[in-house]
Amino acid sequence: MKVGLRNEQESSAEKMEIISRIKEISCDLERTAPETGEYQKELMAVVGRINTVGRTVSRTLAAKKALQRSEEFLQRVTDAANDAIMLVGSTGKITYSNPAGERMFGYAAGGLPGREMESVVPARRDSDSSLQDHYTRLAEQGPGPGDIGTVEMTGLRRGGNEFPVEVSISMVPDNGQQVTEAIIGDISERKTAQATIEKQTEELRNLIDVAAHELRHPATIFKGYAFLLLERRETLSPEAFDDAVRRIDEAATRVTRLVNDLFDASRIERGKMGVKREDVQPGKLIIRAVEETRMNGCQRDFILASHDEMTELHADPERIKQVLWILLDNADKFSPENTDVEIWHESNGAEVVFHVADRGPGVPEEKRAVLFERFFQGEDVLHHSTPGIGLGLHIARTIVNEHGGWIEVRPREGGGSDFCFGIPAFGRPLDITPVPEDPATEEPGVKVGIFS
Amino acid sequence: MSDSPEDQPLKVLVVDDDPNIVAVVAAILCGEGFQVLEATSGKQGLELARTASPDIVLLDIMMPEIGGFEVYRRLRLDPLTENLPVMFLTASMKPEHINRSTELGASGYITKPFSPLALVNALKETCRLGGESSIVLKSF
Repeated sequence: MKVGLRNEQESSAEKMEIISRIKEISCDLERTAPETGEYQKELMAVVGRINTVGRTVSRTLAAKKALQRSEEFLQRVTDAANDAIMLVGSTGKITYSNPAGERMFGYAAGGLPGREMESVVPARRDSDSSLQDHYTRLAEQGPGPGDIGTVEMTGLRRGGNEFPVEVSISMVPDNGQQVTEAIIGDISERKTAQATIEKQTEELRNLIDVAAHELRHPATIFKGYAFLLLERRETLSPEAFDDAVRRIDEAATRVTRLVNDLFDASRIERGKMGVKREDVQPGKLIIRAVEETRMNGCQRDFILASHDEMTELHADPERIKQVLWILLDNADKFSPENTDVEIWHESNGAEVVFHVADRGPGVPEEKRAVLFERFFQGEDVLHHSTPGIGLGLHIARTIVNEHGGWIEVRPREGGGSDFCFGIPAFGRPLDITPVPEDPATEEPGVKVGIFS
Repeated sequence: MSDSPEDQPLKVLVVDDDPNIVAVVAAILCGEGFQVLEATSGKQGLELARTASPDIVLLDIMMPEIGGFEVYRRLRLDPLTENLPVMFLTASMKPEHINRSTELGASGYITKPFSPLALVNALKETCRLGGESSIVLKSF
């Protein structure tokens, strides 16, 4: 910029000096030879032409500088772009790529020009739509700028890795030839985010379907027995009346569990599950969990088989009990009648491990890893005969994880499953403390009891 | 039951994998003078359909092992049960299930939770017409 101004200033000064010198010569001639007036006029005309040429030169120089600045700016813009910008000749070969294009496809600087465009964005295999098709369509439109919008395709990196790209193609006329301009964006992150959102949306749809389906059962019970109790009460025997009320109560429990599961799932999603730790005795937690499970109508025999009353656990007692309820309920639902469920805990000092072992059908090895995923059900959730919407084990795992522990299912010797979870103890050995109202402590030294 | 030509109670086979649903349907229908046969699986329902000569079947759709549509198909293939009227009684509100029921020629499609009196009336009407009905009752 400064150089340009100086050149223009110098050029102007020289011009003025020439004009001044010509004027001096003209004055001399006028003084010395009046008859040379005609010659003077010619000289002035020459001066005028020189002025005109000077102005033209100045304008040309300024325009040239502006063009150069514009080209440099455009270069900086294409260099700084995150998207690949490529020009493709009529033969399908790349004639230009910005640095982003070379980075995106794994080539060194200058490594793309000369290569086929098909080598970086191949024709789509799954449809008849390829870049070549787009070129053809554009060529059929004839010379002139054209834009066919964007199309999602697959990019091919130099090493052979494929990745999703969005390609915007337009035709740009250049010296009577058509040049294809392709702007290519790497949409891997967008695709991943889209897939996540689609998965979550699908899960939400399924949850609503399953919850609606699950609610129809207790609603049927309520509506049916409400009719009998209101409209046909006089026909009901005392036993039938009691049966109706009992089934209404069971249905209400089913609804309550569903609502609790949905509420917990919602808290988990919002990261608000939370645990309130305090010193607790694992043996007591087991006894209370079993008592409460049975109070909720479970008729199963539970064998309490803990051999350790020395340990104290630093954990949220309500949440640990909730995990136990879920595992006990699960064991009850999937175990044959007249089989018992064994529950115990053990400690190695660093952690307390709880076990709930049943004689159910067991969990196939390939399903053990996904068993604790949200909405997992051993069978089609809408076609199962046992209540639940596939959230229980997911909630259990979340609670255990919140405590820094682990949970898994193992095959049980002799058949069935052993659901176990470990919680870091952070506690200390306790003095032997009798557990009140614990049938397992009725005989000193024997810590096996049966709830039936 | 006074509505049947022979003045005999209509015999209804209820097939649902949820025993609580079977129990409440049975309690309602027994109170209305029907005779009720109870099945808690598709397999058990097929057996009772062949052996207990029901007048009509109330059939759940979404059941483990043998689902309701498969039970229906097998009933139609068996000469003993090919003309037995079937009404679906299901928690499914899916339009494809309702359409399929209609296409199969089922006598009715009733969704849970149902109105007990509407169920009773639908059963009586279907039996009066010899199964030649196409009733759709949706919960509201």
